[in-house]
Amino acid sequence: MSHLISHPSFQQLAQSLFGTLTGDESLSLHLQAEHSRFLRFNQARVRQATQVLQMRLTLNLQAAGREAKMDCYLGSELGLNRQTCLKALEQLRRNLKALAPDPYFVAHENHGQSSACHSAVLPNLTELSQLLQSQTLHVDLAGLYCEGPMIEAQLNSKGLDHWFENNSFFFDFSLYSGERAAKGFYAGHQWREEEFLAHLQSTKDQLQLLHLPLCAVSPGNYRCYLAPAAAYDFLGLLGWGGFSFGEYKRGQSCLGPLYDKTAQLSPKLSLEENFSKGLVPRFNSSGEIAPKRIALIEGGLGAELLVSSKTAKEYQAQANGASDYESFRSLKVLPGQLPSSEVLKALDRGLYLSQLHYLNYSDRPKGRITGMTRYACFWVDGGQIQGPIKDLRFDESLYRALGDNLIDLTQETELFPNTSTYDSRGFGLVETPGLLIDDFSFKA
Amino acid sequence: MQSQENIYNLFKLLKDSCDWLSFRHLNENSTWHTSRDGRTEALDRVENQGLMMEVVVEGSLAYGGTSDLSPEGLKACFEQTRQLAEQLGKVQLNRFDPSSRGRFQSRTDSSSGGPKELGPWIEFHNQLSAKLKGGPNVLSASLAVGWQDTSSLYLTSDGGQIEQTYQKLFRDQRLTGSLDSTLQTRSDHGYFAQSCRQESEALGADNFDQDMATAERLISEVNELLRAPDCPEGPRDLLLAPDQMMLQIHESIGHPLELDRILGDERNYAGWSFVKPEDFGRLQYGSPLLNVVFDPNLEGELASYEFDDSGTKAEKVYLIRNGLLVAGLGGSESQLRSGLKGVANFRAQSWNRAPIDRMANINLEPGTSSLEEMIASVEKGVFMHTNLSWSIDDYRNKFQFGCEYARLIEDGRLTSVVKNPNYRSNTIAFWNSLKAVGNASTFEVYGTPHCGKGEPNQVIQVGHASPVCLFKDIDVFGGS
Repeated sequence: MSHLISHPSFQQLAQSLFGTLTGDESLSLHLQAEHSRFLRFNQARVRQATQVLQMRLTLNLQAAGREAKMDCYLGSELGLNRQTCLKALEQLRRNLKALAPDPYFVAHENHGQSSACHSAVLPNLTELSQLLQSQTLHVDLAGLYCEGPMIEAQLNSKGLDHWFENNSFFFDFSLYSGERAAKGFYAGHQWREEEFLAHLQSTKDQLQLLHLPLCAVSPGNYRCYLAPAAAYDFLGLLGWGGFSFGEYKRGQSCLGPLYDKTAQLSPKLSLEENFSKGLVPRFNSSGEIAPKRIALIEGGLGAELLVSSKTAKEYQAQANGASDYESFRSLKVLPGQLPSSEVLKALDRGLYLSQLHYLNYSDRPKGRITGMTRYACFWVDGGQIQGPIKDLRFDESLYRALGDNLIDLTQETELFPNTSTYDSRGFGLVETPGLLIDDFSFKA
Repeated sequence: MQSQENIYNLFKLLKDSCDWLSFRHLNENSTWHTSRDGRTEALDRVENQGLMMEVVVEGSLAYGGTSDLSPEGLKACFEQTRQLAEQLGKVQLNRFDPSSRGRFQSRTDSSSGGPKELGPWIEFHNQLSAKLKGGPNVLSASLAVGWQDTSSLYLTSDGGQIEQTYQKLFRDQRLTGSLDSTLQTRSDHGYFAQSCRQESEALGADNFDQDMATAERLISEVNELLRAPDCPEGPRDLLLAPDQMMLQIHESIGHPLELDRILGDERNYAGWSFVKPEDFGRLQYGSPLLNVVFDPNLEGELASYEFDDSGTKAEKVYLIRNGLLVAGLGGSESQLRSGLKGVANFRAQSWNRAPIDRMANINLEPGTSSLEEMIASVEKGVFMHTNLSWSIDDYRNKFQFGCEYARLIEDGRLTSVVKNPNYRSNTIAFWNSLKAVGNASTFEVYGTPHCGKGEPNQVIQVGHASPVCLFKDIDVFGGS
């Protein structure tokens, strides 16, 4: 079904544009393209079905120590695409004239060539929808199934050529019994019905636990276990500038005290940017290749921050292939010593939190985070689940939660591919274990 | 760019090949300039053009979006979308009768805007961010400004045709100060809160004197915050400025009243709602002083429009009157599904997403109290300004919000500045604690381009206008 631009067509378009450059002009082309199908479910039926073909091209023109960018959208005809891009180049030339030279100008370079392609086996959508209906006769399902190829590519007039194509699916869903809900997730390249049904069954099992009598939990401080999905929510907030060297220098990183070395976290905690799984492009929007591994936090101490070339120039630092926004693209939290099978025993008395919701900083410079519990969250006593809880608000410093109060991390980790679909689908991965934390603060 | 003639021709060719068809063609051009610490950080232009089609086959509706506007691209998109509608016919939650979508007349607003010369526009922004950066204890300062020209064409196979053209301006100005180990940020009314719909002659027309005065105020206030104690903890009367009321209305009135949330569409992502269908006409949402409207016609407000993306004429509707919940935020589909009254708010982020129920301009109507009267009535309170932090549960009930700047109110007078002001409450209890609503002299209009919702995800532009409002006995607190 795909009418996405091919690598040779993209190269052909690029070469035809590079041939029009004059003087010291240099051009970089960044392509984000997808042909996606989205099925939105409510009550286990299709609420909205959408298919989208979009090819967004960012042209970055440099000349005389200045640069300007322009985004435009492509179609399938080379002639029309070339016409669109030539018009964009004329606009960019006018824009460059309005700019002063950039003191932190980073010239385009040839950062090499690469090509990767992950193919997929996807389900028949009618069969998938009918399967859902037959498997959810006594529960209510809401969620999003998403599939199709995505491309991220980068070419420039200096010879750089990176192409990353990934065809995949994810199904992010929740099951309901009245207002009680449990969350499920299945993603990959090869749809296997038996694997999906196993995920569905495990979510149904969790929903059953929610039928236990509700446990009243007063505001206060409790030991809690953040299951990997909840840990992903909590640590995900660090992506809001936490590891950005530029934001750190401008006072906007919640990890300022860690990298100032006025604070430290638990020696059990190590985080790294890690591209070894190959599911996320290592090249950024300038085509620079990040190292396969960048240690961000090692044994509770601040190690490297993510530094883009532009930030490096401004603050005389060493760039490490970071994106313009200097947020992690493939985060790995190293596992701990706690077997998942012993989580309840180790938790003993406290809260088992499957998911968190709507996190935000309540005091960013000091690393204080607030948010809500969501989905299957339980009160545990004597190492046994006693029953579900009503949603609780937490408001806690990450320096306490991931510092002295971090008891352990689980031995097992889970993978969370990026499911964000704002404007377009995106690449991204977080691998994290669960976190057992003491004295976590819950509010009224 | 493809001509509209091509779009019309393809529409004519395809419109009888299914039971009902619509084309929504969008052409949106934006220019963004970001200045930091006195120099240009980025100059970006976005020319966003594409088309979303709705194809109905035997009551089964599917959406198809494409950036390939060639005749072959549109035909391929139509075939794939029709196939999707056919494929899913038996498993759709709802079936729609296309005739319910109606017929409409064309309307076109004024045409293109934008600054006449880019160079002086950029230079002015750099001067302004240099001015902010030059203030005492300022670590970093930025100014981001964007203008956007949008034109859309909506065609339906039962004869509907709507053309709309808008110009919008987006603006964010902020600085971060540092003193000893304290960091504080102050902005011009919040993150891109100075975003609005513009008349073409006003676009890009920065007011040098006014903007320099704003810069002076922000520098002064961030320095006050750097030396201020934390906001005290405990129950106090809470006076909220319009630039925080914007967020308060958005999170605890706008989202819970969206009918698609109430119908459960959003449960897996943004969440459900504590509001039940039977609450309309019965629930005392707030004190009798509370009057809230859906008003897509307020001049200059960001989400003003004539028709939503289902072609429904947009008109002012009361959502809450004298504290009583009377109507929800649901477009034509949600109204059919729920049997409830709604509004014209079936809106899509862009051509690449299907419309869903969204806020537009959700405004709180002015009351009768002057600012001085409200302050004088408070023995022990806090006056908070400008949203900084927001978090609310998935039923839109239990919330915690933070602001940039606050002053204590003691014995009827504004006194010292406090930093890191936060408060938390529950939606219905909070709105029922509303004890005074400011008059028209305190009414201010803001907007945000960043309201997120939906699966697949969408951000949309919304506007919020409000007077200053006073709430009784709210739990407030400070930073770490």
